[in-house]
Amino acid sequence: MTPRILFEHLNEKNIQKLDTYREKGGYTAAQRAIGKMTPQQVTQTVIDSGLRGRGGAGFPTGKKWSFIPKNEPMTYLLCNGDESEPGTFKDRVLMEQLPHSVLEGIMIGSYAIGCHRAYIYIRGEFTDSIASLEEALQECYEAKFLGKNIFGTSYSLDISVFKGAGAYICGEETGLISSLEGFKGWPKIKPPFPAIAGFNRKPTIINNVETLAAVPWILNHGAEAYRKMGTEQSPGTKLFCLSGPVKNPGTYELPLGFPLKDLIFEVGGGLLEGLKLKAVIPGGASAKILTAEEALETNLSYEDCQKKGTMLGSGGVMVIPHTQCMVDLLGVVTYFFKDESCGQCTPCREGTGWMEKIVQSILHNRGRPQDIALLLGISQNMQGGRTICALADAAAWPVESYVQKFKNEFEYHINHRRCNLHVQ
Amino acid sequence: MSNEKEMISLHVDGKEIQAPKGENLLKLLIQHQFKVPYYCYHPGLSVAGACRMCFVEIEGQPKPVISCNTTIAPGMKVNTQSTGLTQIRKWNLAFHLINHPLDCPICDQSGECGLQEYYMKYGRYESDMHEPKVNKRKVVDLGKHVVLDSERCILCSRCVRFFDEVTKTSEMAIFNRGDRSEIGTYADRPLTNNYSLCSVNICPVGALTSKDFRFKKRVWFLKEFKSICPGCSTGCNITMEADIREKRAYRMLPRYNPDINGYWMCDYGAMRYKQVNAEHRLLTPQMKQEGKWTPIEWEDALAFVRKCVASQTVILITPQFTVEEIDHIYAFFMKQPTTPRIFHCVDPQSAFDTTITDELLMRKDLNPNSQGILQVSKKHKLDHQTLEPFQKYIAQNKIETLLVFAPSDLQAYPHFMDWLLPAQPIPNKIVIGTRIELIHSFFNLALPTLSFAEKSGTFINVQGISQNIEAGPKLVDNAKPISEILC
Amino acid sequence: MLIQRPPAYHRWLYPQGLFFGFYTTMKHFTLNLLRLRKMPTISYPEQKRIRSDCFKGKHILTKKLDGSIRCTACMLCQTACPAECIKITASEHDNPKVEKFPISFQIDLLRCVMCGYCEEACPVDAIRMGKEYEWADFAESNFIMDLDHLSNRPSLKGGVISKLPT
Repeated sequence: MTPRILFEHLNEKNIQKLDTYREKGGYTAAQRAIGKMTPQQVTQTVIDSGLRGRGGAGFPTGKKWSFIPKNEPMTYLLCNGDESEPGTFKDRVLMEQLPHSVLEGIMIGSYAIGCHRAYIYIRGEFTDSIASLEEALQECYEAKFLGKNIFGTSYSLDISVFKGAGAYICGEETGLISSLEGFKGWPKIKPPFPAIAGFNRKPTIINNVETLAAVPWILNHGAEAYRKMGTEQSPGTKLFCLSGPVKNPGTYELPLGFPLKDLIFEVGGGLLEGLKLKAVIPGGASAKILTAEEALETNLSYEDCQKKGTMLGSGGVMVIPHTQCMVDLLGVVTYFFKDESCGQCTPCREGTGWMEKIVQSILHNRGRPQDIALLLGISQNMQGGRTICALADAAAWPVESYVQKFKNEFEYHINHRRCNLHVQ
Repeated sequence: MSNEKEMISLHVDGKEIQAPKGENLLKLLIQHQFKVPYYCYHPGLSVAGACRMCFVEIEGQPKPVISCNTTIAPGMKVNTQSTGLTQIRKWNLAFHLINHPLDCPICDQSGECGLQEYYMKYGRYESDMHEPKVNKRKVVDLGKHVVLDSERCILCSRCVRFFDEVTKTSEMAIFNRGDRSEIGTYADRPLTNNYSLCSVNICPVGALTSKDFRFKKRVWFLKEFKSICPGCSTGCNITMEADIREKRAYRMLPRYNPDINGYWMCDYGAMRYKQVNAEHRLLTPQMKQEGKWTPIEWEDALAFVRKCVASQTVILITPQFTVEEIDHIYAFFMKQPTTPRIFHCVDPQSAFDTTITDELLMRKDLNPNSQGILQVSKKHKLDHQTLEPFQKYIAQNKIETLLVFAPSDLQAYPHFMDWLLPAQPIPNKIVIGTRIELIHSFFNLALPTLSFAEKSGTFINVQGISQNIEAGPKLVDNAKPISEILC
Repeated sequence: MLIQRPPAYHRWLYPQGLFFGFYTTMKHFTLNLLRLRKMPTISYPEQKRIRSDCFKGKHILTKKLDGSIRCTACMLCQTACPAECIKITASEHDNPKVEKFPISFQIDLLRCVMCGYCEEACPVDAIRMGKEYEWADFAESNFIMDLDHLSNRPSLKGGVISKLPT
């Protein structure tokens, strides 16, 4: 049995209700943090726990919180529930099923950075999450857990839900801030970083839903208990979203460092009948792809994924079966990034469109032999800090890795003007 | 706080540079003429960081960074040229160009286009783009002065930021996202503010072009000379551009002056160049003989002037001449044996009025040199002789000659001829000016003089700053400077 | 001063000198008269010499497939022209895809030095040097070719169409 932190109470009946959540020990962490601890102590506990951001970049959460300038009168905490990475569906489970754990995490986080105004940014398509969170907020306000002087202390906090219009780029920190400010979801140029001048030009912390939902457990059980799970550099557990032709797809909570092989073949029950594993995307569509051999040796931790040249990202594990044409798959991925590029920086705006056109022409048998080198050239010149945000990198990594690792399929498409999978 | 900013030193390409603390790195590199390409950066606007051309290497930083979003720090070691940077610039330029149409032959910007300029240096000459380009809208009418071509746009957002930050009218925005992004105004509404041509001037490519200048002339035929806008008392610094062979002025562009106009000028001012061209000009001296205007020789005209000036003369000067010319007029007539009466038509109230009448720069007084005329007349103790005493004087006294130094910009004087009506009985009415409209039944003799584009001199603006104008080519052969007419 | 020369015997030999002097002329005259060999001259204007492909004659403005003028009024020929004989006035076209076209295009043949730089400079194959070389005329003004003459003169038989993509 794997340890459960986020999903501790997932299967309780009526856990969405405040009363049930309190019966199971909910809000004790928040109450203790706000009532008895100083913000520095809370931050220190989170630093000690080694909790890393679950949105994709894996930046240590406690360290992020400590970047907020001291004695700033107006700061903001934004909870990023945009969850726009293809292949990821973990935050919505938390928001729909365990809204109070998210709210409790936000309360503790807000207290730690000394902010009195927090927003939950949810993409507009998540109607169930919005309804669930709004209901939970209502209950909290009625129970005086939110608003002025919460838990009888001098600390006040307001939380509101903000519905985004649903864009990939609004999951990026500064894009989210722009969207929340009422502008087009365009990432902002850094520096200044959001921790110095973010939402409304005030210090702002943006955390993923999953990150914040893990905070109450850490405060309840202590940093040491959290560190016992996972690996040295990536402690704790993480939600993994297993998708693709496996027998049991779904969201699983597993300790970090869990072998990818076990996730697919034991937890996920293996691939469907007659299918062989061809490749795995370990961290959402923007992560570099792993071939079957590489995937079987990979552990799901930040450091091991990095060592294998990919990233853990948001934990969207996508399993690719042997019947899947990689050119076709890349066509879908490049179309997604072309459609979602905000159009601000030239390399990303033009590069994503260019790559999509080239992949489409290879797919539709109009490819030229030099297109493979060209795709690599474009993707290599879009990544590595060439744009304001990381979308260009996210768009370039799949192209680079697919072309490098499955070059023979691309060459077959170009040379034989058909797909090698349809021949067999 | 002292005005002197703290200076720090940094190294760029091995050269030591002193710069005020907190300066933008790209601004500094441009000032010191390091060759760093850029499109979206403009010193008068906020930083967008969208074009990604201005990458430089800074020692200690793992990756190249864009210089436009870097603040200089003491001891910083910057490298602007390296093979890695050239590669980045080449690829970024390629990204700019893949969807840019090959419109150069018909594009007004060619010759001063940022893409052309850097293509010569950072071009990847073999085109890799074999896919169809993204089609966008062409020839979109954006009001009185501006035409938009979305396909040519590189989305540097300079124009959007200009209308957001400088005029604060926020008419333009970028619509759509990804490679479908397009600049435009909401529902193609016309740009109605008085600074729409600035967006054309700051556009690094040919996406926004001036309706007035459109297809008139290729820019490489034009010669530049520095001048001052004659449109109002603000005295914006401008660059006048004219074709010397054709003897025709084509446009006026703002020239940077931090104290007066910054980087900008208004549309009204930008259209003032038209008055210097031959079709609006008085080309030869003309005399009304038996009710008909006929061209005469300069010798005859000057002889007539000399004869008239010797009699009882009244002089009226408009503030559209340079300080030197006005001084010459005063000095010339003060020497005359029959002391003539010299008047000027400056309204002291509006001459000192510094209120801005539009979004940014324009002032109520539409003369470039009201302050100049006031200063010169004060020197000769005649500053109280304004328009009202003039009208009174000509109504009460018997005068033989009226000499009018007429305005070249009639927009500033819509009622000019009405003012002169009391002078109808004067037998000799001579006008010296530039405009064809001066051939008016009211006058007897019209003498062409030089317009502001053809002479050098000084204008004094409403803040009392005197600024020099540079003489351009002579656009009307037969016009003479004031100093040659009155000698 | 008049010099009296002594009479010389060879003054009587002048018919011989005359013969040798006219020898070449007489030879060609005889040979040509009797058509004993191919004649190097042609009977212009009935007969015309064939010009090579790179001959630079009177200018032609080419047309697009739809018959409209190909020139985009980019003024590159005007810029390149060392004799300053080209004068173009551009105008806005109704079709936004064409956008710019010459409303007037004049070449002053009397100034033109037939260097062919205009042809070289043209980015759209709109101006070519043709093979016509007979343009003698009486009035100076007749040497200024206008747009119609450049693209549609009778000798072009309906105009030259360039098939390069626009």
